[in-house]
Amino acid sequence: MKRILLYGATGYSGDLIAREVRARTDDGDLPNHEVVLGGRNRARLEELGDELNLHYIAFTLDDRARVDSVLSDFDVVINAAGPFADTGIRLAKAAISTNCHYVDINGEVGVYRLLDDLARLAEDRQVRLVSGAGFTATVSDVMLRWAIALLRKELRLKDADRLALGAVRVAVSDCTNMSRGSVLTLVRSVREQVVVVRNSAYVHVPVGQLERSFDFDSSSDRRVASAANLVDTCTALETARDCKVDVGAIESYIEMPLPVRLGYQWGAWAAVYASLPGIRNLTELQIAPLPDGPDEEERKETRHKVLLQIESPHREPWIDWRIETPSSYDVTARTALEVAVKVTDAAEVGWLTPSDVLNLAPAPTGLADPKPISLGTTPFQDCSIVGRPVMTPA
Amino acid sequence: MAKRFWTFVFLPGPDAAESGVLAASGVRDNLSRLEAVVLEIFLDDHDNPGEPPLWSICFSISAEAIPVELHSVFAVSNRSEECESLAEQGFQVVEGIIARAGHDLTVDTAFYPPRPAGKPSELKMGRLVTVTTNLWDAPLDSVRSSSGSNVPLVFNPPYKTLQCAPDLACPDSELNGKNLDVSPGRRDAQQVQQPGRVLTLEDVLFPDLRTLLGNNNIPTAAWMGRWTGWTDAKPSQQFRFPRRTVFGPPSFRFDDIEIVGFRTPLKATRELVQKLNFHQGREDRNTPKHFLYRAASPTAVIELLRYGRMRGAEVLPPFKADDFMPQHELLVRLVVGRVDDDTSQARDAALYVPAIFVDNPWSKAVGRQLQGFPKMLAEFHAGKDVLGMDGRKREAPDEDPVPLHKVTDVYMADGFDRGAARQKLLTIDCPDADDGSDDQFVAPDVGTFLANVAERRSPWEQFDFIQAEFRRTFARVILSQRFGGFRVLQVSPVDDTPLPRAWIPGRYTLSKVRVAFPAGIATLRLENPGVAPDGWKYLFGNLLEPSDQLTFTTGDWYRVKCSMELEFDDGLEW
Repeated sequence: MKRILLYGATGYSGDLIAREVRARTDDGDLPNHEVVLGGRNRARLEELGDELNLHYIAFTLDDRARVDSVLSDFDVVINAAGPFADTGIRLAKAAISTNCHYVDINGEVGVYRLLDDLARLAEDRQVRLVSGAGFTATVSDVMLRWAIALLRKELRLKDADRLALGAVRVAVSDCTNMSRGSVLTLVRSVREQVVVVRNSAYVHVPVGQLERSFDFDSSSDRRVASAANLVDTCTALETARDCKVDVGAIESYIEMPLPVRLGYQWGAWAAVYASLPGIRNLTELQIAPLPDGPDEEERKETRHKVLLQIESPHREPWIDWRIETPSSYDVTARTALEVAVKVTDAAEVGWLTPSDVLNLAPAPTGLADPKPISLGTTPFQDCSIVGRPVMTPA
Repeated sequence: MAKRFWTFVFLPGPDAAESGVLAASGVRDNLSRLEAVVLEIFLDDHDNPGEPPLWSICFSISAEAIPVELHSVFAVSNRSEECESLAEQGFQVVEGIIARAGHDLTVDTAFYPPRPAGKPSELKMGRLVTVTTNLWDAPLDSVRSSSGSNVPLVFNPPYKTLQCAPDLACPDSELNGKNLDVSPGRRDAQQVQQPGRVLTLEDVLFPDLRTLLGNNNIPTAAWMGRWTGWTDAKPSQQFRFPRRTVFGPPSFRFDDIEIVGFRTPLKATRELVQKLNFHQGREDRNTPKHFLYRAASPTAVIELLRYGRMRGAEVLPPFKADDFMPQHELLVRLVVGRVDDDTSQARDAALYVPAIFVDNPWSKAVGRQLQGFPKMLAEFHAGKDVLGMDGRKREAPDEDPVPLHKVTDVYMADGFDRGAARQKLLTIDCPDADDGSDDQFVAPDVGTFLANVAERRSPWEQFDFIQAEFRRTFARVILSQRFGGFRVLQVSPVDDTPLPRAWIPGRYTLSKVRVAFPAGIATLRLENPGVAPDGWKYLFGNLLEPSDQLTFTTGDWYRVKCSMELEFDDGLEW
């Protein structure tokens, strides 16, 4: 029996993951796993635990000995407690110390890059760390691994051969209906600059410099997206390195209508001032009254699209795929739980991406035909993928 | 005579299992039985008559009365190069003076003597062991084997040694280790009958061989034969073990420190910090490659230090908290910072020491292995006098210590004895200031150290940081912490030991700091002997001044008196 601790279970995303646990347990999908809820607030944990019939443990991340003691009883910890700048490093270090695998739904690039410094330490302790196991990084990462496998096959590359790509772009459709925690994370993570990859290394470009239009709906109505600090850029670089791919550029975009783009650029300009303690507290006070997040009805009505575009070194379009998913929060609950379930059996140790762990290769067949293909498998039930005719690699 | 070995097997003393030297070797916990203590002596008496003989003596323990394998406890060699080679193979080994006179082989090295009444023990050089036998010159075929024939017996038990280096994740608390089977390559071994009384052990607090052997100075068995040299070791799987149980907690306190420092500009610094960037060029997925350590400043500091009292902050038996060792150091240090590929800013400012020379063999052994300081053995001279570790002349140990700024020469040494090769590293000429009076020294204050004038230059100032990213990010940190403490960063293993390399981050906390900027011009003449370690060669190759003679005006050199505490960080701490 594998034991999984869900830390941050009483938060918006944590609650959804806990409900996913209940649903999959009821379906007989998790016969070899016991999931225990964890968090700071004992009363809310008790309430949720009683409702879902799950055990719970209340503890804070202030007492290292207590955290180590708790984690040492678990095989995996899912960190759903944002902002991850406050929780990620602490839980990951404690997890490595106690030989417990670590999975989070972090969306903060800065946190991802602090956590990946721990890769060698995790490898040393035979522990696996997976950051960004939520929406959108998991979706784009799985698509990228499929695409790389397909291209290697089309190009008849041997295992040791390196694949050269000109650009990898990930674009996400409008995500304005966010939870309070996501808004808080977003506000804290706005910077003057955006992290992108050039020649397989991170560089920064100013906010607003990279804007592109994407075809989110298979129509001629292309919509503008602006480059943003998404963890997708980091997971794509990791996956490219793992798959022996040299890539000229990796960029991640979020669809933004004009007013949002203007606000984004103004926010970037003001980011330095917004990080001052007084202003930051004031901003966070304004966020506090926001609702927890979209309710079940709103989530049911929401669909998201994640695009993956890959260009050859000569800028020819090689891959143009689009996955349509249910609400980002529902997808996050499914992907985080599935990664946590599979992480103990992953082939490698150390720093892994979600697609490493999910191991969903090969790509669905028929992607040259512009018809939606239902993915069907966990964690991508209710998701479909559309490919488009692109130039066949020479 | 070429290469030979002599092996003497003794019964262990009644309290052998409690001996500190056994605990410090790391083998005590893995040994279920202790049936014998073995002293083995190796001699390489070179064909070249001008070259002094190489002696190594190894104390080990065995679980069998007639050894099948030996667990290495402690070794002494009279050559530093041999010490480093043996240390790479997992021996706990220090330099000593090993000399033969007639039937006696005497071994002098640094040890902690018994505590005088009410006083701490101070590490000093002296006689540790005398091995007496008439076998030194005995022709091999004249020695009859135990069976009464001259047929050589097969006697070649391997040494079990422990190779270790700090763990990357928890360099302060855990070590990576490998057990090695090291074969000394014995040939034509012949058992010796009734070798008589062999061993005379001095009364010593550490290494406490008397506790290990008790009063057993007559061997129960002995062999001698030809020695073909150490053969390649067979390592075990790598394992991890807590550092505390073997070496004690990695927390140190240094009192009565005196420093003479010289600031010198460099043409380039990349080579000096290249060992910090061992992670670059690796193919494995989990090694982070997106940052480099870079020198923050084109200024290096050459420092001469005398530690009055070096102690463990927490100690294991047989030591007490006040027991201490003194030493001299010559080091090169510079400020480094971590620069991520995609940022123009540096972080994690620390001091890095690429070259360091000491006259204390224990400090050298432990510093290299556990702290990542690439220490080499050195001799510090004041004119014609060789100085002991405590600053007193070796030939006049009852006189007062020679003031540190009167040290004139530093030599890299291949051992302590007169036959050891010496290569000059540095000639120092400081103006004759006061002889250690405290009048010149003042407590540092803001006025003294923020004044941007040549007469009052401090060790680091804002304008030392040429590159904008360093000025912006941590020049301020360096300046503000300058006399409160500073971080250090080293890399271990410093040699070719096949264990994973790790960064060793630590913190020095300073106290009782007093500083003087003596008037007058000091000069240094650097030498670049072929045997110098890389750090020294890189310094020599990147000096800004075309001449190897460096001149320091008032303010560019300084004297400091202080105390320090050194602690190491755990990579998994919050």
